[in-house]
Amino acid sequence: MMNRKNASPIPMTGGSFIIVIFAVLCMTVFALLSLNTALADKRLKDASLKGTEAYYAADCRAEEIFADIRLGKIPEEVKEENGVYSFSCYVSDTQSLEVEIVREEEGFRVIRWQTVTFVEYEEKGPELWDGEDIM
Amino acid sequence: MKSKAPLVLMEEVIMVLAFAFAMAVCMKIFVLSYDVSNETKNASVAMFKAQNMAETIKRTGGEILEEDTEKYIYYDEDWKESSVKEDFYMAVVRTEAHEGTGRAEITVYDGEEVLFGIPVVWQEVGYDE
Repeated sequence: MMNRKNASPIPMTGGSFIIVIFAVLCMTVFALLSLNTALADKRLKDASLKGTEAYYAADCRAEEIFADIRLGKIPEEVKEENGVYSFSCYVSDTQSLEVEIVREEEGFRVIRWQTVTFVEYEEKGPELWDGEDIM
Repeated sequence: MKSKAPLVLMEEVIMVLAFAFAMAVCMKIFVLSYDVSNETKNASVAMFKAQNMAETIKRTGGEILEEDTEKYIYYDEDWKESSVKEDFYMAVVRTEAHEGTGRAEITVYDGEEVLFGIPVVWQEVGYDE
């Protein structure tokens, strides 16, 4: 019979494997989360840049039309009613720049220079208690 | 009886190599995220700088541009205005005169690369019909 004191100990294999798998998993999750956040910020920035460029393009067009009105050349898209000139400039598929200019004795005065969103959003609020008895 | 020590050692070596490889990939992803973030931040700041400049020009009727046809504004690496040309960011305002309006093109650069650019038009005084 073999002496127990002389028997070689059971090697502790597998412990480092579990630790490495756990560490790699954690680091991979953190890395992917940080990349996801950075890409989401980039998408937001792209949309913001596109919106700003579109707004300034419309603003420039509106200023040019305003200048034409001041010079007495009324473009076709301008409506005139009781001394108020109104027109709109395309910003995006959901927005336009609405402008109203009034002619006064001392010159022209801008009474409206506003970005208007013309898409109606369906309101989906939380279901609130309307005052009726619950029971 | 044969010792199992080489088996354990081999496992440790394989785990260290696997860990090093995984960390190299993760570091690459972290660096990519940092670069994307930095690029996003710079483009956003460039947009705000150009927008501020456009609104100032419109508000003052182009007075801040004086008689220059090109105006250069330099920024350091933290986007603070600098009086000397640095190797970081730069905004260029190019103006042209038109009948009844003043026009400018504002472009913000990071070295040679264009970060953001917008046109701006304002009304010149004294052109009323």
